[in-house]
Amino acid sequence: MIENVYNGFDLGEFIGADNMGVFGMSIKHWLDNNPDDKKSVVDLVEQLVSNINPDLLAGADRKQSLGKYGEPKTPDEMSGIGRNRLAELLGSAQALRATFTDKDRIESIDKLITALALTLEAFDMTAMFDKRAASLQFRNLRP
Amino acid sequence: MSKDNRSLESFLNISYPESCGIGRIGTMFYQLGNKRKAQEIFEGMVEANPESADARTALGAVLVSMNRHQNALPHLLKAVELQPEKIASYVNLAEVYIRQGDLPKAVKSLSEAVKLDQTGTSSAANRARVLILEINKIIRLTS
Repeated sequence: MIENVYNGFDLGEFIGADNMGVFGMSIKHWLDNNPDDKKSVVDLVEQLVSNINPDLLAGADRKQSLGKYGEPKTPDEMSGIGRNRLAELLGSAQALRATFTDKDRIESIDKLITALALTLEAFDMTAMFDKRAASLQFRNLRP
Repeated sequence: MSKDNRSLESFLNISYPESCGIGRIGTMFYQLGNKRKAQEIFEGMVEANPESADARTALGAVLVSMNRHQNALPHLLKAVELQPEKIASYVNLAEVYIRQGDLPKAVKSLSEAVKLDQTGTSSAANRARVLILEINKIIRLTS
């Protein structure tokens, strides 16, 4: 099964050379620490693909990922916060920052802005990975 | 603008489920090995609500995993103060004491975790039980 996933699958294309994102960073982290253990990388990729969105995003198990009618929940529903709301919060935080004059308050809200921006980035990356995972599943379809 | 002492979370109307949603993304980064991004998200959450034991515990855990024990300590102590019934905070705190070689403090914190787990079902408390046994072995060997 590992070979099936690996054959015909371009890891570089999958990760994306320009922005490796969460997925790629995880693989890179593993390779940095285990440079000779390529099989484990394939295992890791397989594990990540099989656990990809929406389960991975919400940290829930597969059973929990099913909605009321057995349909997978969207990432937004599962995570407790939607992408639009995140974008709105980021905008509000940035607007609020502009009103601050106190150095400590500015430092504080800058950290929150960073957290919100990273979370938003994760949403977008997960959506991208979801498409890539779907493509991968198509090319390696199995019963 | 007059000084407003409300937390950023309250000022921006970030609800508890929304906060948990952001926390899950931080946890996802952590699980995928991107500790730096996890740290930034949890730091933002602490800034948004310094009274959140969850955010403090999560940030403390990430910092411990990055071997930044001194930075983790105040967050874990605060988490215990904010939510004295939270088992994970005591175990995380003990991990710092162990790494600092302060075994009596570690045992005290681990014992608190065990005391809170009446049913013996908490994985964090079970780790505490194992750690207490190991520490006692070390103390016996060195005394």
